[in-house]
Amino acid sequence: MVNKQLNSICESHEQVQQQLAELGSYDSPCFILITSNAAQQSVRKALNVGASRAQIAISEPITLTKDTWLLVVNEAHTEVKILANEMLTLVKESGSLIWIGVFRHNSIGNPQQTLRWNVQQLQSLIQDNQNTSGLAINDFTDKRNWPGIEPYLSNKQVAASDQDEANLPLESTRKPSWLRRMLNVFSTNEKGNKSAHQEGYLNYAESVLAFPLNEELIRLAPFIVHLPAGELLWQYVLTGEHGNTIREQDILLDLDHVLVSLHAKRFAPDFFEDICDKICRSGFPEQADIFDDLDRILMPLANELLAVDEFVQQKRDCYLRILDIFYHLFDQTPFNDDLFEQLVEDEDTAFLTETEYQQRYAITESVTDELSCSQAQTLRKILDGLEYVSWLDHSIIKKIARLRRETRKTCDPTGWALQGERNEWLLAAILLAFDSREQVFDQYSAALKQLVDDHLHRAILEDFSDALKPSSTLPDGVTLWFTQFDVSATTAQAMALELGECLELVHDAGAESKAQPRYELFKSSSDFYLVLAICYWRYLAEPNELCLRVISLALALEPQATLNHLVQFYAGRRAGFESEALAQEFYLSLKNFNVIEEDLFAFNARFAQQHDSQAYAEIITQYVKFNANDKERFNRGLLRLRPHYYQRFFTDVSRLNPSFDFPTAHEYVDIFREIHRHAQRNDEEVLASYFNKADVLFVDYLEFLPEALCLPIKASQDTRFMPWPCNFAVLRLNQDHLELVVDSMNRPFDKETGHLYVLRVLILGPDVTNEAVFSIIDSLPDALQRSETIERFAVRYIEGDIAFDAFNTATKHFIDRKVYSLDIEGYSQYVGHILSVILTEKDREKRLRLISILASHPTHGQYVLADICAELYLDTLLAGGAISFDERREIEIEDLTAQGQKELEAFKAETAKQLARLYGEGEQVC
Amino acid sequence: MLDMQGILKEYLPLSVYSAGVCEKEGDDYIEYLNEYDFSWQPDEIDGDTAQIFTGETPVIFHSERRGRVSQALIAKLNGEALRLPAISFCWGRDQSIMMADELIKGIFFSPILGVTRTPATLHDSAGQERHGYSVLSFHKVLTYARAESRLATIPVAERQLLRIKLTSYTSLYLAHQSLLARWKSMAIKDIAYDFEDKSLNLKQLMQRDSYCNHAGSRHYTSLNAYQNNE
Repeated sequence: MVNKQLNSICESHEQVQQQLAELGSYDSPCFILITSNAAQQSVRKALNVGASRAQIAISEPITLTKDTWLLVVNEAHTEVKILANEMLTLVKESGSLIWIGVFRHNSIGNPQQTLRWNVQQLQSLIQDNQNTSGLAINDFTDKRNWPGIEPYLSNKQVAASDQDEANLPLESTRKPSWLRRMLNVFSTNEKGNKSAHQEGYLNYAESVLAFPLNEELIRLAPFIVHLPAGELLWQYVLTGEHGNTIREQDILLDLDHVLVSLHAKRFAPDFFEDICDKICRSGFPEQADIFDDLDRILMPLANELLAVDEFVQQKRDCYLRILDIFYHLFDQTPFNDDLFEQLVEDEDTAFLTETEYQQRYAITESVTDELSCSQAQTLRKILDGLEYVSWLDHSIIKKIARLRRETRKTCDPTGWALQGERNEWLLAAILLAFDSREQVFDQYSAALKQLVDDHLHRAILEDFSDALKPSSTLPDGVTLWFTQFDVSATTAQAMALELGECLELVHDAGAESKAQPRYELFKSSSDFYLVLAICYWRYLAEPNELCLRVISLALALEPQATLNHLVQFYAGRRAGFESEALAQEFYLSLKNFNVIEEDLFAFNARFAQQHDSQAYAEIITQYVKFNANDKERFNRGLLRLRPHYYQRFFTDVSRLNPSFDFPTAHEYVDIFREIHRHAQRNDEEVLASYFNKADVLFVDYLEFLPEALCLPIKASQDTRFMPWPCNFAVLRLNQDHLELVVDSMNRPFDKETGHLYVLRVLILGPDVTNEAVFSIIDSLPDALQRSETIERFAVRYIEGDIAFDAFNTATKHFIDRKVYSLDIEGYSQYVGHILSVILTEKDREKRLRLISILASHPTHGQYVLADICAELYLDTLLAGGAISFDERREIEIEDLTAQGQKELEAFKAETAKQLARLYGEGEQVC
Repeated sequence: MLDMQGILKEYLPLSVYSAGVCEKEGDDYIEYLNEYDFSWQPDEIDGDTAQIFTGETPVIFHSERRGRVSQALIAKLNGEALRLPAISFCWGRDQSIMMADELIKGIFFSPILGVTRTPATLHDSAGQERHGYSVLSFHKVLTYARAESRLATIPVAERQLLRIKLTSYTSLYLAHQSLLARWKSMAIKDIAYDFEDKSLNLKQLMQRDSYCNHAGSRHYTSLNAYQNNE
């Protein structure tokens, strides 16, 4: 049932095109393609039932063919999943086949492209499941289950009709081998001279190349051959011949007459396609964009020519000669850092020294006292990069070091056009540290030192002052501590206690923590990190009491934030250490600052957790062997990490040591508080929950009011005000107008203009009486009281003091259980995760009660249950030795064997049965 | 430019004025035109709006206020053609400049500069189709050092307009003094001819976080005044 014409059908279908054209730049709906051998009526019915179960409204699907439909649905991933799964189940139960492809459009993408991917997804699904129904979902908003779009990107963006005819598989397709193409060429009489020419230079290549001609070189060949003096350049590339001629006659130099993209488009369509595929921007590839992505464009070629084999030297030389051509095509502009690293630094590919690279790819500008034009540009770029200190990684250090090696003038601040900004002082501190390491101290070193020292003290005091609570001032003791460096000075820990009282705290949900107060000073966007970095590098250049105190104080206030910031100069972005040597360098530098052992242990645990699974396993093993006192001591350090990290650590410890008691199990109270902060209904939603669905016409933001309800509003003498300030109103439909039933005291209805000033409205049906509404409001607790009720009953239920029914009765109107999920949007980074608590809870009944809350929604709950059961099941596999600890960290449900999937389903069914026992026969959730 | 010693000392910035017309009628103000009426965009293809053009085929442009053919404007013009600037920018990152053909008559660009010329048809904000324009797309941005070394031996006639790199994200257009003199003698008022010294120091401009090729906006209190270029 694979329809190869589906792309063409979509492109020419007026309704489809209209739907796509209506999408705005903020719209991210799901495209749902359905193919089924069931009757259209049955499919439509299944859609309606699915929509009803998901509690969403859907539009009429667009009929593409007699058995294929397109639906565009703008709902959250949980609802879309319910819709699709319900449809699948219903049609399967009827004995028909159905295939459903769900692809969420990204608002910054091209809707036509998304639809083509949706078609590709459906076609693959049908191909792989010809005799069974199937469902494929690609939804980037479902972070836990998103498969990515790599298979779609690797396919060329060919015209839709071509794609249909070619029926390309998911993997990237390349043209047939050059031999086959040559044979094809000879079998087509029309190609004539062009073929002969192509054959000519390829045959020539075959005959002179010291290594086998590869596909990548063939793709590039016409691009080179058709350059000015192209035949000569081709020979140069293949053998190195005519190098002197090429230079003497300025053949390479004059390559700057050629526009790369136009030339490729005209003469080398395969290479032009490669360029278009790799360029990050859409549209015609621009010269600067091609240059910025040159390493990616040439990557397939580099993979061939830099592979180490018996022809390694000849292939490398060939690659360099190709780069010579591109270097000159791009006006002898220095290559990007990735190409430099490929040739000079990457241990897998490098084969040039830096000097050799500079000699070949750095233009010698006239020697003056100033930085050259390109050096000035590079310096400017470095300074710009240093402004965003939280985004830095080791690459900035490499850039600075490289520029410094190119010219000593880099270290002359008088050539920087100083603006008095902190990024300049940071650069000065880093360069000074390099000088110190190499035992260089000249007039430039002195100038760098002065630049830093002239400004640092003031900047430190400024930052601490700016980070205080409102109406606070910096204690004199703190100012003195940064100014007078007596031998008998206060310790950093004592100073942290004093200063901590005055520093402004982060007020995000869950941020209040006894173990680790969260200060505004250490928020990721804080300017303080620049000062911290300056102090760090300044200290490395030369021990300095001021810098030592700043760093020690930072380590005492928020050790993990401080260490995370300092390590970035030695690691890749969101990656581990760039090398073992850098790791050692980092830890050696820390010895200057007397980092507390517990804090260092916690840092190592967190860092290894993310970047080094072997080291992580060793740390866990080490921890397991600690005695009780040591555990308690190191726990103090661990609990200063964000809950997400220490929870994960403790969970992994308990996986390797099942008798381990999860020290933060009690945090489920805080966790549920955070979950319910999202799931708790606001006032008008609570009100709405007391009425039948048919009587609730609308409850949402006023701006989304449907046209049918945009009616005049009338207040009456019976209109009441909410008993507390609010931002909503309650209205009732009354034939041709809306009657104001409940008004907001702080944003009252304007009777003269008929204008509502609230943000949200609840509109009830005409049969709802005032008495019904007022009786609810009279007994309605406010939001804080509802929150307390939810927490009180949740804790009592989880501790086993009350049954689920009691919890449900007390809270059902207050909570929107659809929100329960293991991945709630906007969830606080300062609060732990319920999954860790569930996985480590030894009391089975208590664990079941924890799960029962999250899985309590009649339709959404089954998906939450599925996710939880998957994690529990994988832990049982680990406990039973079926998978290793490393495998547990990497494994996904799709990796399970058929037997494993069956066991998981059985486990889920058994858990569902146990939950049903807990839910009992009580009232429905609402 | 004042701080350059080579050929670039013969160049001045190309700095283009935009225009706006806001006319008082009774108690109300009616904005007949603003800068977006003279910023040009081609039709979208596959959701993309091109910013750079290759000269292979002519292109049709609309103003950035596309779809908003102003009935008020048409009525006010009373059959007169809307005056279009002789020089304006296309929508995007200033890679392409829209010019009246008479301005670039006889101008050729050395291939080193990477400039393409594309015949343009404009659909202006009064709904009129206009001809006699071309888009110059500057595919390359040269460093000043590169410009001085590679263009020194190129005849001035082939390097009348240059696009010079300032930072990774910004560039400026330089026009040869002779070109500006010619345009001034043609009474082209859409560009600036006089500059403060700080605008003529290239290395200082390279230190700035941002740079704009636009000289500012000229505000006209009546459409009539705009049409007469008063």
